Amino acid sequence: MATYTLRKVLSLIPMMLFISFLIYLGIELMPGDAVDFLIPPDALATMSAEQLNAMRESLGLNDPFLVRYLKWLGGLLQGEFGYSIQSGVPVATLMKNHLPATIELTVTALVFSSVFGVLFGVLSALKKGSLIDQVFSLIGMAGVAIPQFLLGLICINAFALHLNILPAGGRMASAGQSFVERLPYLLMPALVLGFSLTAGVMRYARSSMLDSMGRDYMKTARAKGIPEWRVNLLHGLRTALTPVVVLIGFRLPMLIGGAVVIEEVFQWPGIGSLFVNAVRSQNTPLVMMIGFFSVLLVLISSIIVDIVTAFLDPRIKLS
Amino acid sequence: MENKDVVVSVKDLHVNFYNNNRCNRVLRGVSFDLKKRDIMCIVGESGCGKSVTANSIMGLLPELSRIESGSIDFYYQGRDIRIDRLKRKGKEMRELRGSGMAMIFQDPMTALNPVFTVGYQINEALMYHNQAKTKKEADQMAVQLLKDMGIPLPQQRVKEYPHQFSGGMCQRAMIAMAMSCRPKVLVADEPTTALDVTIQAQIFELMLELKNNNDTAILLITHDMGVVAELADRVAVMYMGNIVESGEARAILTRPAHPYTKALLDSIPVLGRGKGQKLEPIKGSTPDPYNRPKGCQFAPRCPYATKECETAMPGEQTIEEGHMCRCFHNLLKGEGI
Amino acid sequence: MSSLDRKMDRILKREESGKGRRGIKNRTLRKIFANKLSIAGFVIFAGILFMCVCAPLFTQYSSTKVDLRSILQAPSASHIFGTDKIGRDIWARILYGGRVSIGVGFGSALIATVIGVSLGTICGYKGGWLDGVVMKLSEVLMAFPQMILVLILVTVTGQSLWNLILIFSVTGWPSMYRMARSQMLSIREEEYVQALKAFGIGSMRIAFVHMLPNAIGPIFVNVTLSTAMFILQEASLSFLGLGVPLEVATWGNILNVAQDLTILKDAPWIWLPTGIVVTLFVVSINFIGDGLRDATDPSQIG
Repeated sequence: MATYTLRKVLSLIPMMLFISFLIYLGIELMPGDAVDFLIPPDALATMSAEQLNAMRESLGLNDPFLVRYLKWLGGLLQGEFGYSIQSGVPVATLMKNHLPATIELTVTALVFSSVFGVLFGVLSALKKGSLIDQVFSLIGMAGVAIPQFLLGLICINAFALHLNILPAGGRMASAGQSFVERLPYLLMPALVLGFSLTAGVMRYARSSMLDSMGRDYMKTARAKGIPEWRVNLLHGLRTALTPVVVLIGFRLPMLIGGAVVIEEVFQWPGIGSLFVNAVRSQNTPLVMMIGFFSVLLVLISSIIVDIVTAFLDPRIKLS
Repeated sequence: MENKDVVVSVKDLHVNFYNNNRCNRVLRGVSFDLKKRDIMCIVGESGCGKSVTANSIMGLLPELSRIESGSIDFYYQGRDIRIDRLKRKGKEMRELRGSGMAMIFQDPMTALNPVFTVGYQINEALMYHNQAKTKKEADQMAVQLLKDMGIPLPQQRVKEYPHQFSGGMCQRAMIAMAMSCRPKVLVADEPTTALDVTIQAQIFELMLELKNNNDTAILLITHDMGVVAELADRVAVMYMGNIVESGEARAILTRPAHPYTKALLDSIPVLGRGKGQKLEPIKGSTPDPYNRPKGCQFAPRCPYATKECETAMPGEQTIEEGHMCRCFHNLLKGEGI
Repeated sequence: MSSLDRKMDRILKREESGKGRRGIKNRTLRKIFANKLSIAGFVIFAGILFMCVCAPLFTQYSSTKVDLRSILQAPSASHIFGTDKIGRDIWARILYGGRVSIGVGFGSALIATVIGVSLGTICGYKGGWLDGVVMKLSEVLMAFPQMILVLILVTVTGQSLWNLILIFSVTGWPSMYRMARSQMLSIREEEYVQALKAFGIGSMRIAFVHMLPNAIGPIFVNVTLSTAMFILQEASLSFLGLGVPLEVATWGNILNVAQDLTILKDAPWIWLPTGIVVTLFVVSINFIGDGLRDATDPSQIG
């Protein structure tokens, strides 16, 4: 297991190097002087032209492009992600401040949609053609077709502005707030964000379950005379689960993309709104670094999916 | 008076399938008795209703199908159980399956669940029919069962997954599973079609042995006349949802009475008869099940067909002791029987 | 007696009265017609498309004309969906906006398909170093969450209608490429391809003329689904104010004003009808796509 994971991680290195190169290219292409985002702006303001040039020389900004890239990459590995050109705050600090909110939001949405997606999907497969199946398939269609932000707007309109039972946005993350106290703030954005993933998982779980239910081993299980629930849930669901896990892994990037929009809609102070603001203000270093980390996250999650599938399906060898 | 050796008795069974908003009359009055320690073969072309017959007995018919009329009696532990009246997924039917009657399938590679170990899948049957009290006991029994089936290193093999088994070994494991509760009836639906010929002989040998040790009645579905000649005590030939001829294997193979049986036998090359042998293919093909002939189902392809054959399906005639045929022109007529 | 039993009796009765199934011979057409949802989808799709393309027939207002004497009017006989903050007619904006939104969605899907399918066809058939390079490139692009990549490219290129189409095409082709490539890889193994090779027919001709048409079903399905996805993305981006510049009417830009909570609460006529139209249009495309998939998938019995 450990060697398998290590091999997977190592296989990602060339890809990450290439992407980091593209990211650095993006940062370099940005209009303006590179010094602007390598030195805290308050220090920059007091410097003279000679000082600046000396600074450039000592920082290696006059080096050839490739050398500069390698130095930047070295810094990256030591946690130096550069500075936001808007506020001069280190990117690392910004990310650290905004990350918990995003993790809270996306993990809640992910858990919600995995659990309910599989549950509803399996239910509809077992009751294929029934009313409940049709209702679920309608919900599934809606989940795929309604733009997420629109669903967010409708929910804010209904639950916050008219019914007044949930806050319209924000997170209330001040010190000493427990998770339960924050729950009303989290509820709407997480459910809206998870809705389309739930729909996707549901449709997929349904078809995967139906496929599994038509297999020969289901008949064998029935011929053995074991109870129907055990036939369906153990033999059917257990086998149907592998492709569903793969799908959830595949859809994770969409969840991250969705978080960008949903955080904007609900004024959720996470990486997503940080990112959108950075794009709006042409804050290239910040945009690029967030992009870089989103790729890292996607690739790591793909490794996790690989490991989980190998764990679920004995036919996949871990070597 | 019922023969006390009869284990399963099927009488005038009609089964319809309702797929795609159409009704397919798959079984149109099938009757036969299965006796203790007997191997009964059902032969026929694909789509003639062999597997449906087997599945009806096991209560494993697909969702969109039902038994329209007729009866299936299962004589088990001194009781007469009407299988056709049991709920297919009900408790009673479930308790019969696996313990009273068991089934093995055509493709052992797909019939075992790929994500569970072979041992686990055998244990399941043992635990649910109270053959084993504890998991440990079940494990030991599973090992013993695999050993009985002639699988080497059973201790290790129980912990392996089906994909690590060869086709023949999978089928042995399936048989181990089926025989785990010593059933009275074993239904084998083309158990060797997907296997190599050499493996085929081993599997049949195993089945014969089990039959003799456990008094099991075996219903063997096949389309291979060679298998019939080798194993069968009695044979039922099916065509388009009817048993057209049944009787002792010897009688059927040597003196077929129904034109279809004869045609079937004439279309098979016989080993050792050399290149010169004349093979007679059956002309035409099986009719569309949604657009069946009115009378005898075989009439359009039958060289002996007359006007009479096109109007009605002939009834069951006993043409000699234990030999039934459904034909107006049974071929033994001329022999004075 | 269960409902299943009743259904079976019904079928049995009909069968006995001698009414079998008859109808359209062509399997694909028959399956599409049998699928009522895809027919409904097509009707809605065609209806919305027609109204947008022939917008002047359905409204006398312009989508951009500011009328400060009638701002934020609720729906009435003269403005059936009311007006926005600067007095523009919402109905007209939905129709003219639809032209741009549908155009962006369909145009990007088409460009992405042409690029992806051509590359996929060539690489899938020939393999070799070109395949390796294109594959790696697609892996790199697909490693980014789509939305993040789009926004990064918006930062790099700046905001404009054409840039958006370009960005969607760049981010959309890898999945098309993968799909076409895997189709080609499986078709390549078929015997008729070997036969064509044996006849000495040029490889490009085999790939594009003989093999590609066999992959047309999945390609069509992908075009429809991509169109739907790009329409949703345009709407999201414009809603964030990062898509098509605000002065151009698009469905996303109409919805943009709903970020204002007072509009959201008190002027639902501005955003709700637009939202419904977007959703309906995307639903209808999805229904068509599902119908196409079922109809062209030979593994489904029927």
